[in-house]
Amino acid sequence: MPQQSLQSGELTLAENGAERVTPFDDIAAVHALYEDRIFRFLLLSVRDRDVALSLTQDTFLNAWRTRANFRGECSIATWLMYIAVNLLRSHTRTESFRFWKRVGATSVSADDLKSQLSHPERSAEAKMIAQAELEQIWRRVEKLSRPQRTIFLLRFIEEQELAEIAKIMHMPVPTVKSHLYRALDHIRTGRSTGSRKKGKR
Amino acid sequence: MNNDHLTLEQMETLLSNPLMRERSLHLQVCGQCSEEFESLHAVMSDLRATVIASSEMHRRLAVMPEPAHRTPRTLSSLVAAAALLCAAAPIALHHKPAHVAVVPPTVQQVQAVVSDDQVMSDVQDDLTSSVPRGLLPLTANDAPTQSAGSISKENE
Repeated sequence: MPQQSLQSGELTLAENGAERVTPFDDIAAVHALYEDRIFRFLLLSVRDRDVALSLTQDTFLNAWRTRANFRGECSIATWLMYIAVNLLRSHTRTESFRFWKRVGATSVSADDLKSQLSHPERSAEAKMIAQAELEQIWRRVEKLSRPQRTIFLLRFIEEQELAEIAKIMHMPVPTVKSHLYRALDHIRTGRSTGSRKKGKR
Repeated sequence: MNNDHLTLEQMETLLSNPLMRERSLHLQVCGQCSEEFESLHAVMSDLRATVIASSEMHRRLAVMPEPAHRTPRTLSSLVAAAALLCAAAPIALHHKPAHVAVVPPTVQQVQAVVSDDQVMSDVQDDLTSSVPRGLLPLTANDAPTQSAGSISKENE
């Protein structure tokens, strides 16, 4: 029995050896390079760090399983984001109820962000203003619709190109732009309203 | 006054490519747009930096959860099994042979049994005897005696 399984294993390796080599063959290296980025995107989207970690692992597992489909037409990050968004969709579809119940339990909060804001060169007053603005903008981001929020995060946090976001989101570029501009308008309007309110005070 | 301010698309392009701001002539002449851009750019930079730092902290704290899809399935199968048992139990009890209570036979039942036995023994007697019981008065042993006695009494 052990000899037979060894032979079949060698045969599988030989067959794979004849196939085209993809970056995902060295999944450990890809994982080391992109894990933080994928986890961050999933954490901000799913709002639960444990689920985000599980989905991150699934993303890399799926990337390795489907590595033969990777043609190199997009970057590795875009390919991984594409898988992550698909996993995210199926996750939120099947667990939408529990998803909304969990929100806030282990997610990135405004207080988290404020505590991470450290610029030694800023004065105490400037730091307080920056924290207030950060909290305000984060609350506006949280109120965005799901596609707007995802596109906003991909654009301004992950710094993806619009064409790449279109591939990741299965959307045409004009639709991506439309979501992005609406999101930006929402945030911009909120900031100006907040500034006016502060000015009145 | 410059009424032609930056559109959302232009603002987004500048925010995504900060190096372009130096080439933007509008930002150089429009104080309002320049101020808004600088403010938005600063808060977006802060947002990105703090989100990255915060997600690193959450990554350290994250633990792999239990397979979420298994627990509900196991639970639902257990609930289904319990419901099936609850539904099946009364039916099974209903079809179970009922407890037979030993009721003493009534007087009528005893009499009926006795009379039945009597009829059967009579039938048996009739079959075994050479002369049926109904014809016994007509036999030679009893009939002349009885009839002769009665005739003599009547004559007397």
